[in-house]
Amino acid sequence: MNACRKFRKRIALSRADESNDATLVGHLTECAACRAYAAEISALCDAHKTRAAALPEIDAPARLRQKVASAINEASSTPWLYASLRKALAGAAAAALALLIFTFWNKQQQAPTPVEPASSVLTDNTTEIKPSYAAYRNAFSADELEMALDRYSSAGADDEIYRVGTAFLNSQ
Amino acid sequence: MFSLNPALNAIKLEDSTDLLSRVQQGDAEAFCDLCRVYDGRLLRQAMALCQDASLAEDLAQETLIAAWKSIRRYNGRCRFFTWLCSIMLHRYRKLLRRKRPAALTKETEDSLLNVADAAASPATLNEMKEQAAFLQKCLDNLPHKQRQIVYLRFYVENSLEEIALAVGCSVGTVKSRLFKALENLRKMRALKTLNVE
Ligand SMILES: [Zn+2]
Repeated sequence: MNACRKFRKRIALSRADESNDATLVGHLTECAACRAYAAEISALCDAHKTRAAALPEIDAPARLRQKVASAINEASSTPWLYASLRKALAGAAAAALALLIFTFWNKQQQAPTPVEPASSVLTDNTTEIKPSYAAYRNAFSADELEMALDRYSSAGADDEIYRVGTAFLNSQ
Repeated sequence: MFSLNPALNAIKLEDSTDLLSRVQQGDAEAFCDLCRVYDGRLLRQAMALCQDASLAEDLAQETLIAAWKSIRRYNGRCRFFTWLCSIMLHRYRKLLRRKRPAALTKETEDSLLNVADAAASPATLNEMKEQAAFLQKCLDNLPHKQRQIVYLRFYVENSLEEIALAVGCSVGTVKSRLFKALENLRKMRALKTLNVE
């Protein structure tokens, strides 16, 4: 299984890039798990390609062109305004940065204990699941997954389902 | 005042090189003509991302205006449309942070499917709509850098080399991000299958 791991990236990329990686043929012939993985990735890529191909041709409405044209006219006829705005924004950005650096420095002085960096839950499979999600991990049931998927569909809860899903799949 | 030239309705993509060099010299009228070449395709991609006609139009508009403002930064190393899509993905990222796209309306759902599919049975159409919404939801849940690569590969049909040029990173980085993205999408898909069963 460990040997398979090194093939996964190449399998995935060859499917996504529609390229032929001849070195994979031997392994795929003898490894059912990697064949299944390849089929899964192919299906995934095909789903997106099919969706992209099915997008209808659209003619941009005249109002879109008009809006863009007037925005450009406006920008071109008042270059001084944009120049001043940009200068003002640059000044504000510099001030904000200075404030940020000062605040950070100040915090460092007051609280010497380093803050644990936030890790990427999406890609780091070794990340410990936060306690609030431990319940999902310990007691997975169809109902809980359904509940999680519902939350996934609702606004703002996008990451949670991913954490839950990743935890579940990693625990298998 | 710059105006839209109706005679330029059917500019072909291959004619846009000359327009592009005029645009880069600050010719706003040429930019409006260039918009006519790309705005339909751009709106189509925006519809795929937003799944909402009004949001998609706003996104395409913001993208074109942002493109005009930074046109001098386009270095010609990737296709112009790819460059436009990269800008659009950045704007879309902001949109996602501000507000999740609204649920699909019946009209939008229908407009996202090709007329060629009209012959399909209602059940098949329904399945296609659900599939499209699910795929977009998965894309929305990817980190921006991974979504960018997947989108440029499968929706804009760029090669990995073109994506590297458009995004400004190495082909190796594109490959790493694409692999991570596929792994993440695969897990999301597996989770859905699990739920259905
Ligand atoms: Zn294997």
